[in-house]
Amino acid sequence: MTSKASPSQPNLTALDGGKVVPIRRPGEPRASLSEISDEALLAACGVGESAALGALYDRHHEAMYRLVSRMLRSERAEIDDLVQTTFLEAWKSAKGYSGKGSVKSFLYGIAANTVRHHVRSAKRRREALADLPEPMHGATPDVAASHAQQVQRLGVAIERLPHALREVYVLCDLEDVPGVEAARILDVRAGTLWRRLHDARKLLREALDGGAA
Amino acid sequence: MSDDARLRELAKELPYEHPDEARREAVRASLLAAATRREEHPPQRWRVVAAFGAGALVAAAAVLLVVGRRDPAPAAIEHARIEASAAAALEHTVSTTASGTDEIVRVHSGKVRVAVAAVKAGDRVAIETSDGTVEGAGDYEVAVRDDKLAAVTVTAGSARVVISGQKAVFLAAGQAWHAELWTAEITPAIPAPTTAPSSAPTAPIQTTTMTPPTPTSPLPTTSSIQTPTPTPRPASPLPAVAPAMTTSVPPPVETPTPAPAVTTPTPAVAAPKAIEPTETEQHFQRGWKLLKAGKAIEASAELGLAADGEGPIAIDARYFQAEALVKAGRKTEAEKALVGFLDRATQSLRRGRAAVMLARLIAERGDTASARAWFQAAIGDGDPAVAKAAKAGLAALE
Repeated sequence: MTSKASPSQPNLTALDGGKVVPIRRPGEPRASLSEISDEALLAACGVGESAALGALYDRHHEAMYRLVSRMLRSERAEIDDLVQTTFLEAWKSAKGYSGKGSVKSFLYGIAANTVRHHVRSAKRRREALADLPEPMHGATPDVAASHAQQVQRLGVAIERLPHALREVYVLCDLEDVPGVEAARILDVRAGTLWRRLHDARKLLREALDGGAA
Repeated sequence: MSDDARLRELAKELPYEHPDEARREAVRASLLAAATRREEHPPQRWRVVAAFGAGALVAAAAVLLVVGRRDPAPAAIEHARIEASAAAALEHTVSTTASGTDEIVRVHSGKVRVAVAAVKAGDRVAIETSDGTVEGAGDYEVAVRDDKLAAVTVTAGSARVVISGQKAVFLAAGQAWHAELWTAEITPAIPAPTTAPSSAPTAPIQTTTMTPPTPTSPLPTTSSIQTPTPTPRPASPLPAVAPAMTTSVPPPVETPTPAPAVTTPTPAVAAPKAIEPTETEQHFQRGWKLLKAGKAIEASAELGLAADGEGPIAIDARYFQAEALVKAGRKTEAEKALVGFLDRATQSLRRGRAAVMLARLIAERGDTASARAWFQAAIGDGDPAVAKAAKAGLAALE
């Protein structure tokens, strides 16, 4: 990196201990951290750089919120906790990141695990919720078959899927994660993944068709 | 379109969580605080064993102390800096317990600003009223009316508010809690510190009464002596070990997105009821939105109005006004705003970032000596990213 410093306009990009320290001039759009790869941020997390964790959170929190809330319909505070736990676990296990797969997949894996543990520990409560009637009250016959109703019915059906099927469906069909990567994230064999995906789709189709009939 | 594709399209229409800015920042702050704590105290199994051993030793020592001679208790150490409004009525008590030091500020009325730095495990700092308790690490302000907790505003770190018979409410930096019946002002606001960074308290401080531990009762109760473990106490939101003033919520210098939590006086996690924001808060919220929308000039005007108000939000507003002014290219005014912020915010976590920003502005106009001084001021910042930026700035000046 070249550095030209003039008294009136010092070059604020510098080398610090052999490592490039990105410096942003006042008024410049924030670009410094965006130039650092996810892998480098995760490596920085591994050596205790909390700013890197913040940057990783800034970059991926939306995807994690989306994944967690799709896998688990819950209160906002609970979703917040799960997302926070996901990033904390990433921070803890950053040193163990092998480089296989993207950092996003690494985070997906942690999030999926976190949700799975949460679901297991809250199984009784989840079952109690599953006994509640579908929120279909108020629907008149002429709107029952509407698009919105279908979406609503599908939401309920996804919620009622066994968790092992739901996480596969969310990852593969909603988050568009390729099958091989999803299998790695969920730590299952590819054959198991495809079977679960097939089962999930079948159950969802049946739920939709049954509702429409 | 196949059935599966149709299913997928429908499923993608399902709503999912989009956290708003305040919620996002609250989780971020909490995450960073938790990560910092974890870093300082990594969970290790041998510590559990050591804790048992230490517990046994403490118990043995306690028995020896009571059965043997009764020496005066060791001097209790104060962990909190308390600033009170002129009208505040309070008692400040520091006492030694089996596990450490209890620093209790019993507030009857008025406003109290608390700065809690490093508190060791086993120690406790709490603000108490007749109906509740506030514990935390960082900077927070507590308002009390008629001996009851009226409001808590956290400017740095975090705090836990417990009202008797209710669930605890956790507040992150920038969040506030208000009691159900809350009027705009209870007592005059505490004058803000006006001097340069200093460890000494600068605002008018009401003389507080300190009750020394009685020599005959160095330990709270006999039962606590007999048990091998220290007297249990309610868990603190921050385990009272993080030097929260500097490290609990480190602001990343390279992502200078202003934390908006202060714009949400009634965030979902904090306030049970919607409260009308004050004029200062309204200006701040409008300024913040404008800043996020890229309308730097309008934002600087709104944030300037907020900065002219009172309270911690006003101080933060000055910082964000400076940021807006930098974005708007009005660097001289930005410098002025930053100096104003640095003068007032003696304890803010953003001091380091502000100092680096100011140093860069000064360096741009060629005053390397002043720029160097501000970079040097930020070198010791608790956030490693800020410290690195300061070092790199100094290197660039050379």
